[in-house]
Amino acid sequence: MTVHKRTKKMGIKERYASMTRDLGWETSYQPMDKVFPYDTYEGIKIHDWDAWVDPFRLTMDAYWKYQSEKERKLYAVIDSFAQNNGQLGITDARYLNAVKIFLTGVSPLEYAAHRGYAFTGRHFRGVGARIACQMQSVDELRHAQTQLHSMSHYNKFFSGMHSHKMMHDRVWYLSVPKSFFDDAMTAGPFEFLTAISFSFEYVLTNLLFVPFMSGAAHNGDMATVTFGFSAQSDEARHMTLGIEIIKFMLEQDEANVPIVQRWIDKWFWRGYRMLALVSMMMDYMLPKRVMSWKEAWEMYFEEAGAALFEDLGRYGIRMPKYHEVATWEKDHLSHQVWSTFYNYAGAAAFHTWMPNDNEKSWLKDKYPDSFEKHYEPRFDHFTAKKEAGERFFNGSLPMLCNTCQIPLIFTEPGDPTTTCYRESEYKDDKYHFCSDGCKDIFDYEPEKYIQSWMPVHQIYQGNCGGAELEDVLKWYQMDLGVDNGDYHDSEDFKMWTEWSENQKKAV
Amino acid sequence: MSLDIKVNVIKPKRQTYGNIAERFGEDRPASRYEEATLDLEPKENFHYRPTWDPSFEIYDEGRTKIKMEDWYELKDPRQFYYGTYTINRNKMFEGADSQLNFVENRNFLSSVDAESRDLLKKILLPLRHYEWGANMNNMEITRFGSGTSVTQACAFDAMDRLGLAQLICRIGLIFDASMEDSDEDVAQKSDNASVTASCLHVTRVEWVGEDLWQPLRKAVENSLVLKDWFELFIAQNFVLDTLVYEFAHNHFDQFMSERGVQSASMMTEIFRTWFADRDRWVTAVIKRVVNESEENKTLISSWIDEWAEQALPAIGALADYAMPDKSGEITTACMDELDRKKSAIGL
Amino acid sequence: MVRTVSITLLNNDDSRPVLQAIEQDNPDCEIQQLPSLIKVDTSGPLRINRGSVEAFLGRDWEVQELHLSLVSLSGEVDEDDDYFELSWGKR
Repeated sequence: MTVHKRTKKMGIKERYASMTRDLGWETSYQPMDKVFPYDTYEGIKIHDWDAWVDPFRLTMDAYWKYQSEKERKLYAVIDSFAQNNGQLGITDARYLNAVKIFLTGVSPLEYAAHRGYAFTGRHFRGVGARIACQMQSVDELRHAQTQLHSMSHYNKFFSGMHSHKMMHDRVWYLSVPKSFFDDAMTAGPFEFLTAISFSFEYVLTNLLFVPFMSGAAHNGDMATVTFGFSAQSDEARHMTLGIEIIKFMLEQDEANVPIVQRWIDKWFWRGYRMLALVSMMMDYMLPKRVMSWKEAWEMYFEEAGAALFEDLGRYGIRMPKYHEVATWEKDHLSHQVWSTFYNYAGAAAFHTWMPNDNEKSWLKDKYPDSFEKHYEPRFDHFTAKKEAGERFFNGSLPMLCNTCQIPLIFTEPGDPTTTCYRESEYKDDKYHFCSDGCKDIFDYEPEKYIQSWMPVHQIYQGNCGGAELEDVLKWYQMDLGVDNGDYHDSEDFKMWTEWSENQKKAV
Repeated sequence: MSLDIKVNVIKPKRQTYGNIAERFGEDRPASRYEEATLDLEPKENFHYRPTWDPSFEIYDEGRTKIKMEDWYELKDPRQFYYGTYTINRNKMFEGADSQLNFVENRNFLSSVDAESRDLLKKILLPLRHYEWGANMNNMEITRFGSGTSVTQACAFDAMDRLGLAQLICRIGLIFDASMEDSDEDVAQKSDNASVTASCLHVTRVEWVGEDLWQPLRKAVENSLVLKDWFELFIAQNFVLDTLVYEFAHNHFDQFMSERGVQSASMMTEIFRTWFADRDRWVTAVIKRVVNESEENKTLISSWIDEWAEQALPAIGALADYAMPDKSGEITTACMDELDRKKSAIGL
Repeated sequence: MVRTVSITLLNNDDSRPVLQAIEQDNPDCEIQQLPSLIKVDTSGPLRINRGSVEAFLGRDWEVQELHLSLVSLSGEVDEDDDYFELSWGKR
């Protein structure tokens, strides 16, 4: 293979440079600023693109070699999963509700990342950075596609996965991940990399992928485990791009430091709010638990994050603003989110349920300071209503945070009994927020966030299929009474119970 | 042997995703290409406008003058999604790699006469910068095009062009190695860095400064600032590529063969194989757009003519330099090839 | 604070010679074997030498073949023809 051909004269670093950076040239028939019109307006100063360090030096032939081998292995597993009715191997059909959130909420982001990295892969002036982005762009396409292929088999048997793409564009809670990524893609190229490569892939990714893949492994989901591990080997490359872009900006000019710090603050909070969905998945949706959200936060953010930011301290970068709020919330986040989705199960494309006794004792054990005191009574109430045949569904539409688009469900830092409301006034209109973090983000760029496509506003304005909830859900492409509702009243549950009984009989 | 779990006859509820069944008009199994491609690009309810260009939405069909009822009509006849694409390209480039190894290990280049060798280096090596321009243009379309079926194919094409640019670099390194072998003294006199990258370094200087390359570089740079992505598709993937490949990898290749330099053909065989493969796709895309409407047809026709006019001096300059005795004839032959392809797509 | 460097590989046959080479050349490292993963942690630099892997493997081995079994890593990467090294704060 090209770059590894060990010649007498050139080491891998020089060979790689001659095969990448050397390809670019200073244009003169058209001004460089016209060829690269987007990499200066954010105010980031770059004096020497040659100082960019390529951590991995994959030439295309090596890339194709390793990636094709990974793909061959992955599709062999996907094929055998389908051939052997792999869906029967999962612990419980409840588990698949996490997969539904993944397919409708996360896979579309992989696709968006593909297009976003194509932008930076074309529009950074530095060739080294551009090539790293281009490889990530096609990797992200890979992830979107392998996820669709892995989950295609589940879609044949279970509800809520059939219209992943349309749902991502329309459904109220999916505007949380969608607006997150739209926000990054509409930012300039440097902010995009700070948002996705650094804040998300480098700082927060372990909170998404480790729980997800371990959760899949613990719950017998071979399809997800396989694409997860296969994707993760690409992520190792992507993470190095995340740390490189940050160090590169910080080393190039001192004036970049405050800009980068503000982006880190913003994208830490934006990413953390989106991960609220993951917290409930870990604590409530996995029939076999891996670790609690709280434990994951402590391990992957409090410990690993502290070490990382200590390292970045030498450039003048501090911990992201409001990290202490996130840390305080670790005892409450998943319970507040799950409670909300339990309320709104009628309007979601996945099912919810109340934890059983075993699960409640796990929750008490993992959350000794919060679960029993603040959440168990509410959940017992829900359970009693359900047993009495009066399953509670909230029929009203919630007020959404204008930044993260999550309903205003979180409580005041330090006080789990008071709901946290913040507001700002801009050009005679009032905007509402779930937290100081989200309010700060709005206040810094109000012209951007007043554009937010707010699902509840849109419903009231009549832009979502009609005036009745049923019209809206149809517009969401939901199969009413099948995709939504309580798990124990669902077709998934009924079918799963039949399968399990048949399997028992067969044994 | 039979598997016990088959006591459960499990009947699927549906065969594929809803958007695909809707396109089919029935619920039947879809191919992997279809599931990986159709409707992947978000269509509505974008939250914010790009701060770098607020006149457009994040994805915006207004980024070209071309109008299509359904952009997903622009299918890739090769049905490449990431998996099939990488597996195909790995095979293709492994083949090229062994060809290059063969030329390198047998040191074929050292037996080529100096004049032919210089000419080969002069014409072939700066094309790595041309390929790099093509990489940038296809990445641009990957971001700004409409519909995953064409944008993903452009992403693959962009990566192909990087691979081809790197392959030319590799050929440059083989030239260097053959020089070292044929003249040990020169090699020993120089220090590492200056010998190793020498011919690639020269190549870059020539691309930027030598008259021979300026018309082509000018056309490439003009394409880099195009705003209409479908015009860019026409300029790069149809006009420039047809002319440059017809000149460099057909006529010039034949010319070198006639001079007895078969090793040149061995090293560049992949360019012909690759071009034939991707040309099926480029042709299919343009043909479909032309068939959509008279307006599209007129636009494409005028774009082809405009870009052919820009490219003509580039091909002329290369032909004058490489094959001065028959440069007019070669240039005409290249333009004829473009005309032939033009009529093949219905223009 | 001492920052640990680490590398996580798939637990499969391809990783075995790599792991043997790591153990041989980095005596202080700590190896965690899980059903699907192998995680190697160490406080100092972690170095994978091509020569050592080739000795265990009995054939030529390119350092970049690591990409086939790599799951995650922590530390700054220094990659060359003959070695792959992870460390903190060299830059």
